[in-house]
Amino acid sequence: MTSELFAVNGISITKVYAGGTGDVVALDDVSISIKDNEFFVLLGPSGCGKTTLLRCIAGFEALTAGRILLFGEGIDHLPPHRRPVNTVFQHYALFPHMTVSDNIAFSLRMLRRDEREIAQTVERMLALVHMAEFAGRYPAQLSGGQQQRVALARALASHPKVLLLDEPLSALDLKLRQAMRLELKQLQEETGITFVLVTHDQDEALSMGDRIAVMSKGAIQQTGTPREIYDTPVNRFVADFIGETNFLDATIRSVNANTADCVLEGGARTGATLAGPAARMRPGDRVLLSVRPEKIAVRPRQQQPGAGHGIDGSITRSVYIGTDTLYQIALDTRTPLIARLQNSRQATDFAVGEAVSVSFDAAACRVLAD
Amino acid sequence: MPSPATPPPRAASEHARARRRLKARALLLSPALLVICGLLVLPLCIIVVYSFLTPGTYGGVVWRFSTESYVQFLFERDLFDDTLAFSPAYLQIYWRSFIQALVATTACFLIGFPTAYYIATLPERKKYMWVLLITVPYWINLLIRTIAMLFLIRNEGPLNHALLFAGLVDAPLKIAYTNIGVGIGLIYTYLPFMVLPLYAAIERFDFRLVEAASDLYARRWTILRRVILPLAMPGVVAGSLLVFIPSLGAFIAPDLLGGGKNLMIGNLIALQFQGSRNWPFGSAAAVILMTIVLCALLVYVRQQSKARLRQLR
Repeated sequence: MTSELFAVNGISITKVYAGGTGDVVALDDVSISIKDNEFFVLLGPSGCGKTTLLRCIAGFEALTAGRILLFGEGIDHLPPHRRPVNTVFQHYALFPHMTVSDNIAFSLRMLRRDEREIAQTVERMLALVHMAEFAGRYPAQLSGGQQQRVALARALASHPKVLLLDEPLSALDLKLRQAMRLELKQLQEETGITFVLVTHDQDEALSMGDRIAVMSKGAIQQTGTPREIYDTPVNRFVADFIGETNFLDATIRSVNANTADCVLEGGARTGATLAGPAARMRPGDRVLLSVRPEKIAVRPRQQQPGAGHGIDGSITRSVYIGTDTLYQIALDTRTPLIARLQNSRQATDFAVGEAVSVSFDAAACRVLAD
Repeated sequence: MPSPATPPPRAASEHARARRRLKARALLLSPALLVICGLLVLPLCIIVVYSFLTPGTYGGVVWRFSTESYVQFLFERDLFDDTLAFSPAYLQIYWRSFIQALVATTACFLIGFPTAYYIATLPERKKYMWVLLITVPYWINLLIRTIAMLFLIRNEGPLNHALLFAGLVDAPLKIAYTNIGVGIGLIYTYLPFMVLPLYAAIERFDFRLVEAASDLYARRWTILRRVILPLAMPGVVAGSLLVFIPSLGAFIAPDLLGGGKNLMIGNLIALQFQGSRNWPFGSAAAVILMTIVLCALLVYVRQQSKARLRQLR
């Protein structure tokens, strides 16, 4: 038993919307633990329940079942205005009739802080988000990126215990979005506040999150650091949603510790890693393997000494994308393999139709649980 | 080489085209302008002119310049020695009308705001039915409606019958022929003028701001006061003026429901053209009312432009 105090602790959260054509389950028995001072990302496609989960923490949605603890205290009975969490809304929701300063001061005024203290905090917040010269402007006079900063400052002003961010970057253009990622990360580190960010953008999640929870169909599929999520996906959804991957149908021949000896369709053999929920797989089981394109080594066939772990194939397509070249390689399997080779290396170029031998480490090849 | 002073011919032709288009658009206004000039501006001019003439013995005017009407508004002229003594009688009528209109406007706002809020937050399909229902009273003539109201609230009317029957009162409530009766009449007549602009303003309101405010520790009443009301202000101002201005000069409600006992501006003016046959004084009373209304409108326009400046979207 760990006695660690989590910033947010969701226990068996279920949220069901009663609909005309039947109930819609938005969250299905979701449990989540978000650490203090952590940049936590809820990642998933639209409709996966990530925003609903965020709104449950903020208090905009009542839970159908389950509990939410904030630093160990139950907050389910509290209305939004009594929860020490603030939200940065997707469309900012700045008060259009108030200046930037008044927007930022809003929460402090509601908390009846001393006016002098409010002025100081507003000034500090404006400096924090580099908006000092816009204090007297109205939201309509600001650009999208500037409104974004004001929304951040407004939500941070009362120093909430947790800051919730609902797709905060989705309304910005690409350049700005990338710059804001770094700034958000920096802001989280500077303020020491726990950030919970909702996004459907895997790049955003990987570049900002200390830990990521991948959600689908109202349930959390996997929680872990960006590296864990990318390198050791537990199931097909996570492997597919984060980055690019190759799926290979295989049958387990034998299991040795956490490595499985697998036979691919067509008879080629490869090693694969068994871990997490996939550890229960036994010899004879039909499984799905996942290999990232950049983890695949491609060699001309004649150089291959003919050892056990080389799979014969031929190049069917080659796409040059600057830093890398993507090769589509036909194997004896149903789906062709995609390999991604870096161009900076002194790698040989392969021509379409060339006979090659592909290989990958057992560590880079994951057996998926489902 | 083309001289930089002369604009390129393309720009010039575009400029001319824009002006032609503007002229063509102005033509669209001409029917309305004609009606307004013929039926509003001209009669108004006549009224202003009449207010400076001398009353004829049997109504009408005698074409002799006089400021007597305006003097009469504030002073009483002694019949024998022609001295002027200040008389607040007419000012009192204006003051009473002002209070009556203010009460009616406030009441309309208090009734109209929750109504408008309710309608504005309905699903799209239901909204339009409700807006249509708000206009139902206007399908019936105002006079008929006011008389119906009189029957309802008079001493022997169903309202008092019900109250007596329920034992809530010992004697019929005196509502008809009192200021309260007039107030009820004004509220009933002008309530939709309050509801519709309020509805339009609240309908445009972004309800995500309510969520944002509650997220930032604001309670419900604070959200109403600090976020919803300020943003609905253009609607509040428009609705208030649409109720206040016609209430100030209302004629039918005070005449029928007030029994003409407590004169209001509308009755006073009507009386000058009918019973008293003092057209210049009636005209002067109307001009004074109009001046007050124009001042109110000026405040409105300034308020509106200020609000728009704040939220230039």
